[in-house]
Amino acid sequence: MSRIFCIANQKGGVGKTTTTVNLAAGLARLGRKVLVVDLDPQGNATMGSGIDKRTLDPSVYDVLLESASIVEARRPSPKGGYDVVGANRELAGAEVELVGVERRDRRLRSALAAVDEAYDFVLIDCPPSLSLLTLNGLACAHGVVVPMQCEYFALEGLSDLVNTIKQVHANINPQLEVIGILRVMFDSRITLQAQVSEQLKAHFGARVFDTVIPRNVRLAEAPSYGMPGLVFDPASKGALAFLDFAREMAARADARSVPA
Amino acid sequence: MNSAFAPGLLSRVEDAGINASAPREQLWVDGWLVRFSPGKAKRARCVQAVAAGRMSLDERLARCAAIYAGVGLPPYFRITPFSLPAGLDEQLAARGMARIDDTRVMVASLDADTAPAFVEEDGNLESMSFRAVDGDAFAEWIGLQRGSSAEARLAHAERIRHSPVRHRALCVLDPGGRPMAGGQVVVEGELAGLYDIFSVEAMRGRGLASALFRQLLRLAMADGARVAYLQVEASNAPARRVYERLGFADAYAYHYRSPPAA
Repeated sequence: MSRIFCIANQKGGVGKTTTTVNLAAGLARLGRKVLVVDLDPQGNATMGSGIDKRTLDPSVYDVLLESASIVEARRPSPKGGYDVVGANRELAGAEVELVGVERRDRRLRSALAAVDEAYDFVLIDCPPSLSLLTLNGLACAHGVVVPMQCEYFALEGLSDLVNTIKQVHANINPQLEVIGILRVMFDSRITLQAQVSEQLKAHFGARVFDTVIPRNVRLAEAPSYGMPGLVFDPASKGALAFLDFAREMAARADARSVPA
Repeated sequence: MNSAFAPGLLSRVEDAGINASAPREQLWVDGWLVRFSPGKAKRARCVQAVAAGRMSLDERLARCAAIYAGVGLPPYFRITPFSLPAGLDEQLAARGMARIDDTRVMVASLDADTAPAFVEEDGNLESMSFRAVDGDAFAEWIGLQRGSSAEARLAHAERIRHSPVRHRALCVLDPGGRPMAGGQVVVEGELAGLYDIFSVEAMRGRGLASALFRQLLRLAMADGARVAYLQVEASNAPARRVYERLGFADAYAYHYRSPPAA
């Protein structure tokens, strides 16, 4: 059975896509079968996995409109070791086209049910908004991973996301929960970051992942080569941190899958 | 049989091993499971003598012989402590069938409390790149490594594809993405069987196989396995030592009886 996680944060540029593709590559490196679903019309997770978003046919757009299955839409990431259901600008239209259709927030959930046996993990890269696309992701996920920069305004955006998650939990998907907060682009020398990091731990306790992803130029360079940083430069500090994070995620997910 | 293990556990391990190697090519003959896959693995092309049956032994043997003659394979008999009817091994010996492939089934507990050595982090893992591969690709790769014929490789792939229990194949990749070692784990309920653990000749002695082995066990534990088993040739002392270090102990032995040389 797949464990499905949304990588979400309402703020843009916080490292959602970097987290998605590197976590996927890290889990693949541990021998897990992973599917990435790109739900962001910018298609960054698609491109960052080495798949040209301009050549997608079908894409996640077709999956949401039920004109293609996941099996038809998925493509292997050439270097990543995982599969991708890609996105491009076409996806922005789905937002409008889905309004008024039934089960509009559960399209992805139905589609993923067909590949439940094929993957250990499904990672959904959500757009930086609480849109119908994000809702489709949240409706099918077991948990949400929230990448966060330890900066002053970081906590503000978080409360909106947490409220949305509570509503989805209450109305659509009772198994949804915040699995954890991942501190990304972290620089411990900056006093403010260390302070915010402490605040996060005080507020969210065990829901803050032990692993911290440092600010690392190799992670930032990797997407232009169409690779996750973990594949582009596996020895870099950022790559090693994501491998640790993959281990931590796998351990948390495994602990949950064992019946109490 | 090792009396340290509950006999009920070992008979379930034996069943799981039979299930994990199920080919499509098999027939029941009076309580015996007669398998005739054209692959390399003997367990998928032998008689699994699992029940006492009602016919005379000679009649059963004749029926098995006819099946193997029909598909052009030699008849092998797998003899375990669970084989029936009692005395079968001696009866086959008396008919001139040779004892071959003395094998040990080794078993380990995967319960976190009883502390298996393999769940501990090992530094080796840091630098290793594992990759889940599908059954077809794995069968082709390992078949080529072992010098199996195209027919045997295809039969292995078919067996994995149609298996009643899920196979997970894992490879260790070199920086260029080529497999240096590979293996499979088959989980059925709380039991995990390890199969086809293999390192490329030039890469042996670097701990690849044992790292792979540990990773397969971690996957099995994630799938809910509590007990692991494996089959190893009795004469393969180095491998048995490695498995012992990983927490495995001899549980029972089996061998084959092969037809008299023509």
